[in-house]
Amino acid sequence: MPVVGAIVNGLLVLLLAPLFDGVMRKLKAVIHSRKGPPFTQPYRDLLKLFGKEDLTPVGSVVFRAAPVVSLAALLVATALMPIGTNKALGTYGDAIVWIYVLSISAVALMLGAFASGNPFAYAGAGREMMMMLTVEPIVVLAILAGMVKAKTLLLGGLVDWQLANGATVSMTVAAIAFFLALQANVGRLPFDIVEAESEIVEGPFIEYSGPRLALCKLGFYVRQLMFALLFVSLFIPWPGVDVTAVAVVLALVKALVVLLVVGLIDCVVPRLRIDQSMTYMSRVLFVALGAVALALIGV
Amino acid sequence: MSNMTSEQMLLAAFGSLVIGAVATALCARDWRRTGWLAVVFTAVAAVLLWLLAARALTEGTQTIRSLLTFKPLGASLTFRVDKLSAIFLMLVPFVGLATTLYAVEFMRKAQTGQSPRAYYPFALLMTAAIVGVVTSSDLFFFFVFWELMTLVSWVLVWFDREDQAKVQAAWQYFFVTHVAAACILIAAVTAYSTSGSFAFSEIAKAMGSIARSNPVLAHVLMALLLIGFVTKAGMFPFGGWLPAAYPAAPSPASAAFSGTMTKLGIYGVVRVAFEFFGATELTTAWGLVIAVLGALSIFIGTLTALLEDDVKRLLSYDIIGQIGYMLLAVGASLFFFKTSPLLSSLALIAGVYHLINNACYEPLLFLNVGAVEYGTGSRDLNRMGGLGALMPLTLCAAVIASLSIAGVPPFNGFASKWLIYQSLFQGGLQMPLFLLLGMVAIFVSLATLAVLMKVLGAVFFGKQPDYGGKVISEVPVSMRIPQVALAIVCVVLGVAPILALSVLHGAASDVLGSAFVPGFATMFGSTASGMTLASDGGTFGVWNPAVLIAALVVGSIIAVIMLKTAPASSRRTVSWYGGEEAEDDEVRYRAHGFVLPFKQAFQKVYPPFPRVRIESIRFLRKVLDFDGWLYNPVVKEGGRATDLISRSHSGVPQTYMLWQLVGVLAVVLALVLLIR
Repeated sequence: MPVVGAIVNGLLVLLLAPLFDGVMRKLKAVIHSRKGPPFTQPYRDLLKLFGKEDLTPVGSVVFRAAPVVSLAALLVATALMPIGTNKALGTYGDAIVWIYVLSISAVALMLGAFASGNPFAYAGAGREMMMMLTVEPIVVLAILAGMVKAKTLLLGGLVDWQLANGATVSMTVAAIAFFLALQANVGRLPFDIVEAESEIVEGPFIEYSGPRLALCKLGFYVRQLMFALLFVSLFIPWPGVDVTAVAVVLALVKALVVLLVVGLIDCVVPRLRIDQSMTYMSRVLFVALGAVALALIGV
Repeated sequence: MSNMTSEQMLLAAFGSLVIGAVATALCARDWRRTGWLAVVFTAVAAVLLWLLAARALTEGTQTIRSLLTFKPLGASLTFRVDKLSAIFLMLVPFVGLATTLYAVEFMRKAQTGQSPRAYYPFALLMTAAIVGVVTSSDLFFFFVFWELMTLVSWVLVWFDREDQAKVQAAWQYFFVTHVAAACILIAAVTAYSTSGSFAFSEIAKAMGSIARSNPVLAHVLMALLLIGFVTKAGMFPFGGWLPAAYPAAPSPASAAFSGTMTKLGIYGVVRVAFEFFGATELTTAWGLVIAVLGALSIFIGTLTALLEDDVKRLLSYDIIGQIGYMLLAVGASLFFFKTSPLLSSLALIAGVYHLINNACYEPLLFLNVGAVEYGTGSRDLNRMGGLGALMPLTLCAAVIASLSIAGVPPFNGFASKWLIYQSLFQGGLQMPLFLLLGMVAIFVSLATLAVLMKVLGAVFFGKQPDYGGKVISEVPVSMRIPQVALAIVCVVLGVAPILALSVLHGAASDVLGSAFVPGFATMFGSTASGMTLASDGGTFGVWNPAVLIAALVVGSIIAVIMLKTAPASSRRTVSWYGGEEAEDDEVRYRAHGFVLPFKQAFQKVYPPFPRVRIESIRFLRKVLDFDGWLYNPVVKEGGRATDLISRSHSGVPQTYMLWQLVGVLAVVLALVLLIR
């Protein structure tokens, strides 16, 4: 059963992620008072990129393998986490494994960036590292608050506990902390510092083109949808539905709402500098610490 | 060889190492030939020790009784190989053999005018001394071996006698480790005064009675022993000597230090704290102290490493961070020794597992760096780049080592770090402080990743700087084999944690008592491909590398299929620098700039690593410096006096006559004054 769940999770996110981005683009167009592209535009972009010439500045294997490994790690991460009540491979890897699998994806992108030899890519990789350093502790703490409650590190176990016990103060605070860091996790403004098109021209992705750039873009969409889905599955799992399929659809709908909020924020705020972002994250870290403290005193 | 007794095996191994040391000292003419001689003797010892370790693992503890007894002292040369010792007996010769093999070519090139006599005999003796430390069951001889190890390693640190900074680092190492050793000796003698014997079992009894009759003294003894051991391990704040001393030694020696000698500090803590003091309030209290200092070590060691641009110093600071992980786990284990057998065993296994893994990837990193040094002749990260294309195998090994140390799955560093987090978080449910320490460990794990990304990005990737016309190519085969061997172990121990866990479970049973440690299936579940940790009522955490790797392969296949079905052609181009033409060196991203804002932000948060300054060394050197306070002043003052005299001899007759006149007048005046 876990294998079927994993395939469902992986395929669902892989196939739907561009659509969710298309909806966010539409929202952006509406705010700009434009007509905007159709919802399916990201699919068309990807197809177009798959047909474009693959230009490589270096013959390095690392450079060529990086987008593949990065996307693969993201797909594994989606297979490890629960969507709705579909726990997929959750019995083979817990929350810590999930976080470190995500880091495989980041490491692959950084090594690919280094291998390209482009200084813009180096700058982007450095920023990616700094974002990881400041954002990941918040995600870990938010999950730890759940662990203190549910006495398990299994993501599925945390969902079960949430469903069984309803909303609590500590988990709400953890949810707030997670949400405040969500914008950075999905690489959206004001935290799209890693790519920062107007400063370091897509940073780590600068030398990628054609099919490999398509994989990078797909990875970006997958990461976006995955974090939204984890947020809704972990922190807003209610109402509990017995049928797994319904729960999954419900999670997708909730994720869409979350992503619309993310898209809204993306439209109205300018990009922060990396040091400003780190200051912001260090404050959010205290919110997350507060969540763990509250969980420890049992509220 | 397998029909030898354990005693014969151990003695033959010692013999091989000592004879090897003598042989390399005697026929030390040619670096390469002496090197191969050392490799042969180390290999023989390694095989013997591995057989002995295998026997200890399958047949249980091997005891070797009194080879030599000092009756008046109550000390006897006895050895005991339990499963914890067996782990070290597998690691130490492995690392020793790998680094000696590596040294053959490396030292030939980097000899700095020294004779092979200054390196190989001491490298062999160090392995022998370390084997002695981990097998002896008599505190007196334990100390003798410990001291031998320190002295021999000091000679290796002192290898480059031309460089003043390195000589100073060697002296600092000498003094700090001897102060630490003195702490151990004081504690040993105090315990001996109660027990009348140096045997571990007797000392343990003596410590028990001291703890009952005089708890304050027991605390003092514990503190002395711990200070002695963690100083050797390099724990903050006692590790300031380490980043100066390790880089001073030649790279293969640094690798051997990092892989074996540093870990003996942890071995000492485990042996002494658990076996001597038992499950009392004392161990609980000191467990907390070790855990907190371990977490501080992790934090400060690793973040200082991020600031460093000399790659060997950087790795040395990183050792301090890595030692912190082990001490954090061992401290947690001590803390729960009294209350929770499951947590205590889990944390101890996690800590020793990390030790094993560390003994594989840390030397590997030093060997990678040595290869880079061999090729370029430099250790400055800012002056390197693009070596990956020239040294593909070293790049591959360095990536594996870096991902292992940074704890990226499925490499071995992840497996042990995961276990450490699990034990800390599970412990955190009882003692919330451990949640915080676990958070520090996770955060710094990311910082370790940043440190190693900086190294990889600066050394192996990017544009090549001007290497001064040097032709750089992959290192010779004898330097490649050790790197490959260590890298393979890093992968295997990560992919199949069961291999390590079954041994570690046995070691924990030997240290903590087999009745104390819960059964293997209770602790790690029954699946052979991974670990399932249970807590009361349910599953606490799972890690199954086999499933993860399978999933990664499937994910990669999906991505590759997408790439391959794409109707796109491929073409080589040049890098794009915003439309400008640029020389390679102009667009090289230097290591110093990597995560610079983060470094700047964090420099305000934590104190700089304390540098050990011992005033007495300076005083001693002043006293011994006869030139400084006796000869030079005498010569200087004498010279000045003769100067004065010679100035009066101007060579002009009139002046001499004037002097005579003044003299006559003075004599007459004196006579007149006297006679009146």
